Amino acid sequence: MRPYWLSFGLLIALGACASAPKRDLDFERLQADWRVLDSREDRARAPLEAARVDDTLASIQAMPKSEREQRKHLADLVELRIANFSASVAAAMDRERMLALENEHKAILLEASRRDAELSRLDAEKLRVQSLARAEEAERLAEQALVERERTAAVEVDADLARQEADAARRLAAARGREADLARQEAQLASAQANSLQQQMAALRPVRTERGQVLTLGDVFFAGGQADLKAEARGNLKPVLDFIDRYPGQKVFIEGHTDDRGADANNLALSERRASSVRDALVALGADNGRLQARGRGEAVPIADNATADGRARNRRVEVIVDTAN
Amino acid sequence: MPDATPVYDTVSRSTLSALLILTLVGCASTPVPSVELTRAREAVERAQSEGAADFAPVDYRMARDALDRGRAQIESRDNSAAQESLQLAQARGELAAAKSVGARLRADVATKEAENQRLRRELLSEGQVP
Repeated sequence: MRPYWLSFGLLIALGACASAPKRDLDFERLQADWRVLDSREDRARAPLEAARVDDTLASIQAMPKSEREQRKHLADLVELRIANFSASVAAAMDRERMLALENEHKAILLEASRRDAELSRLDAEKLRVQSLARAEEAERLAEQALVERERTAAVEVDADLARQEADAARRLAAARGREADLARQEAQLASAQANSLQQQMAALRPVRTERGQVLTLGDVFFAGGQADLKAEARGNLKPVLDFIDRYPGQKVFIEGHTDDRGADANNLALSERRASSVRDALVALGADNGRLQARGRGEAVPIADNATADGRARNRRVEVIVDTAN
Repeated sequence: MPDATPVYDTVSRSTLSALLILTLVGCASTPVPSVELTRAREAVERAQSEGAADFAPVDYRMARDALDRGRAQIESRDNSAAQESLQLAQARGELAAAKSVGARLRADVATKEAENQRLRRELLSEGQVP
């Protein structure tokens, strides 16, 4: 082999630049390198300058036709350029990788903030639940306190009621006592009245006046403001009947009078009704209705001072008058 | 061709000598590679600005040497050699720059990867949301 290569080298040294070697390892290697570089899948990602590619390709193509020194130079050049292209491709890959990493960085931050938000949301939810629980607890306590208060109040109310009942009982007892007193007083009054009525009836004495014999029935015969005779008065009218019977055939005027309290018309009406009551009572006892004439005089004919209670009592009366003048 | 041999010798001889002369003349007549010089200088400068002295010191050194050599060869009027030196200086300088860029990118990528990993660990692994 050696003689062949020697003569081959000699041939190049001496011979034409055009003379091509049968086999050039550098050339084949670089061509292969180039093909590898050119066929890389990521080749498109690192667009190489067209002029340089052409230049390199031209250099490669030129190699077989070049003389040894020149070929060596071209081989060095092509090798450097291939290395350069490889570096460019690697750099492009790294740039892509860098871009991806930056996106990843953003995605991580985004995810982190999403998680932060989620955590805050959970925190807020936890706080909400806690505050809800606290509110429920407070409500429960408030209810408890209310129940307690109500119980206390109920006890107080019970005590109060007991106190009130006792008070009421006391008041009732007192009232009963007063009632009894009143009843006693009433009884006393009634008996006093009865006594006074009887006394008055007994004391009935006709008085001689210019109008004739006059018998005056006091206001004890009537209840206050009433026209009807009291029951006990009704039974005590016998002396009156006896009085008018002492003058048979004579006209009898029965006149009602009142005090000056109240309206005149009312007083007149009341005096009329009272006079009528007496007349009716006498008729019921057997008096002759034809002789009796009842009329009301109202407050027109007082016999005492209306300014005093006693005077007013004396003015409230019914007079039975037997006209003896005619 | 009965006279082939003498003719061949003559032709071969004259061809060889002509080629030799042509080669010498050609070498001598190569113009000053000013374009290559500019490109080589720019490439070396770019490599330097990319930090090639740190990231690709060998290539950077070789590029500078080639550039210096090319200049010297221009000085000594060896334009053909200068052209080759400057072409190499340019290619070597570009490679140094590319390697520097690549190295920085790789460093950036590594930093970013570590940072993402740290972020992922710090922000996402703890306080797992159910």
